[in-house]
Amino acid sequence: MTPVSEESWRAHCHAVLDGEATAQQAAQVGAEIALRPDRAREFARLAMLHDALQRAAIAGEAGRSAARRVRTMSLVRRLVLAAAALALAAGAAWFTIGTVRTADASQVLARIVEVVRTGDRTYYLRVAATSRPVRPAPFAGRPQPSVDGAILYLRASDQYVLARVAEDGTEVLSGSDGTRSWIVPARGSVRVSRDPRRFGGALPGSRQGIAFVDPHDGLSELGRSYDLTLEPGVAGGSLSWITAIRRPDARGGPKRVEIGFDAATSVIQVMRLDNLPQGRGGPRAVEFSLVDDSALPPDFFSHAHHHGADRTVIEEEP
Amino acid sequence: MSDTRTRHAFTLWTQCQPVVSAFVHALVADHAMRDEILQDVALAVLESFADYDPGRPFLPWVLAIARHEVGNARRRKGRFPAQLADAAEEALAAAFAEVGQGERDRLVFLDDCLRRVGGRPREVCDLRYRGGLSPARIAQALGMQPNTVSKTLQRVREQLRLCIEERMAEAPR
Repeated sequence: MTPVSEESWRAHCHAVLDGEATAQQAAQVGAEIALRPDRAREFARLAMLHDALQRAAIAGEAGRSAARRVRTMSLVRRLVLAAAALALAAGAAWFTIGTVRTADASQVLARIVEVVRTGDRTYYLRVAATSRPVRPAPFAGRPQPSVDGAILYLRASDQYVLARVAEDGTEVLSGSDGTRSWIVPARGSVRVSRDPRRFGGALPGSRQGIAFVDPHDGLSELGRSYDLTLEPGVAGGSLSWITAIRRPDARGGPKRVEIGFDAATSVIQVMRLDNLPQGRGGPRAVEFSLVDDSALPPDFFSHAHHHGADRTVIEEEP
Repeated sequence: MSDTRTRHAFTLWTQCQPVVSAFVHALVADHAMRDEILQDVALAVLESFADYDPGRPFLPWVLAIARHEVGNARRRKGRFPAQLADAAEEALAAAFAEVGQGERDRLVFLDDCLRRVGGRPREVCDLRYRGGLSPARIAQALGMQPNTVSKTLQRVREQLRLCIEERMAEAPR
């Protein structure tokens, strides 16, 4: 096989990763990868960029708007080319679909809320944007573990477990069984409170009164204080989205919430809280991604499930 | 599997997931297929975690599982023929194991770099990655030549790569 120039090599790599390569280009890339570890590494780096780009684009609004514009433009083109009667029918259908989308958002959200209240869900949290670093207050104590990379286990009605990793690599668990909240650090005493929200401060949105841990209340709040738009998924299995923009007269809460869900099951797959108020610190944008929906053990949300019997448990006074 | 062990498996998996995702994508070049396979890999990791030797690195172990699941999916679906030969897939798994985690760290700057891309290039990029449209379809929609779309995408990716390099150089060590 003839040697490949640097420029062609990269172009062919992108073509392979886009699924657009000819058999010859794919064979050429494959041969280079098999023979040259440096090119294999370069291909791996490009593949990671492609994959990350797709994930970043999914998290953003711009892509969806652009995709919507294309769908609209394609429709217009077809209308121009089609017969007048067909164009009229297609135009009417488009108008109807557009109207239903907006009107349906609240109903769809209600269905999502109902589904959220059933079953267990496990989410992976990613901080999509951080606020400017704040100088720690004097005597502020150890910094709180970040929610970036944390795992959030949810069961309906205020039951949750948040597993975060501290800077020293140890795991900090906090949660609530619905009646009592608790925190289990890697070392030291386990603390328990009768206030179900006592240790919920680390949960994204909880400081702003849209506690994701109480899915019913949190998501219902969206229906009360936010303008909702619904965007059904594109054919081929992509997610449907509800975008919630905080009304000007509403107080607190993120400015924008995006919920990506499976239209067939109404299960939230991705939820993004954007422009979280920064008055009390915390991340500016957080994304929840569903990673598992299998059932957790019945006692999973009690603190005793997460530590040995030898740990000291301190019950806080209400 | 005990909860502690499950959690350990889960933590390791979430750390490696972006690398495995890119690896699977490189082998199948289809987002829907990649996501389906990733679910199978996650299950396989949890199911066979007892066989994992903690004394050895996790990523190569999980990449081997991913490769196996890609093969299973190909047999199941009867489509998505291998783009790359067997030897290339093997070399690629080794390359991902080598550079994967480092790349993952670098890509934290992607969001910021992406914000610097605007105008038509941004639109093309969004349509490709968010809309899942092929370059040919984008060209049709935007009234561009397919070749121009491919070149635009290539320029954007190169711009992003350089931006990430710059941000890495600026970042405190």
